[in-house]
Amino acid sequence: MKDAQSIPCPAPECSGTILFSPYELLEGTRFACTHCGAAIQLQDKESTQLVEASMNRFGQLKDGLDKVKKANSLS
Amino acid sequence: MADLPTGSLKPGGSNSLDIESLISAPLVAAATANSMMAREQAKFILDFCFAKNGGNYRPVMIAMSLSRSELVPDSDPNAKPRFRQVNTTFNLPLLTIIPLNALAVTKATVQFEMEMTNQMTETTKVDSKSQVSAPKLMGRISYDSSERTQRSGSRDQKGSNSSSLKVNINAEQLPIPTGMATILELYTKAIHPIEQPNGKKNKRKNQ
Repeated sequence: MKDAQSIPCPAPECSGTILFSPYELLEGTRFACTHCGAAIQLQDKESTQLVEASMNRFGQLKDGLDKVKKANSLS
Repeated sequence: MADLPTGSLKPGGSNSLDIESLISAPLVAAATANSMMAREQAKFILDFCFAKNGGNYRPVMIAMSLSRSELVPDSDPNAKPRFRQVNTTFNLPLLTIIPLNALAVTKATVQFEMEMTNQMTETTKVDSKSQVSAPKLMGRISYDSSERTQRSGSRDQKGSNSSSLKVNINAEQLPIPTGMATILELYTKAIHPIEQPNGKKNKRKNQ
């Protein structure tokens, strides 16, 4: 999963964790809690646009760093 | 006067090879890249993850839905179990879903293996005023060297000087800053779900 993130499951009385990828969230993927099975996804278009804009910018920053790494043979 | 019909091999073609800068260059590059990323990351966080309101910054929230199945209680113990879908909307700070720690040089490994060899053959005439300017290895890092000198007679001198140098440098990134980790932890713990009736959408409330 690319750039996997996690949040604690928001379901009441569940102490599980939900692993997700912000890129796949943008594609409409749902991510389920391994403990209770509750699934999360982006709720509306406005939230999707916010995440999309920030992930695009984040991707640009990563590309810039990758160029620096490549130029200096860093990992 | 010294007579130096010398056959010599100079390492790297230059006596003034600065080994220190050769080794430190990749580390400086890694540190510079991390420093640049830290600045860009801070700007990114303020521009995208927070909204400025007067003199304060408020986190930008996104709405997410949580769906889960619940068992519907039935008075008849012999009835088949039925489940209903429950949808919950919760707001999440945008900051918590961005993989911020991905923006750094995670590992820099610099490995040098150098062999420096300097061989020389000198033929000197015995002269009390003679001066021998032998080629020298220059470097700012100490190294183990072995030197063998053979003297044949009193006039001919053969020498070889070889050194091997191995340097391993590992640099790892520091953990996420404590302040940022605290903010993320607070936000992550502050997820308060608001349950809504089936099939009915709530208007999103921006905090």
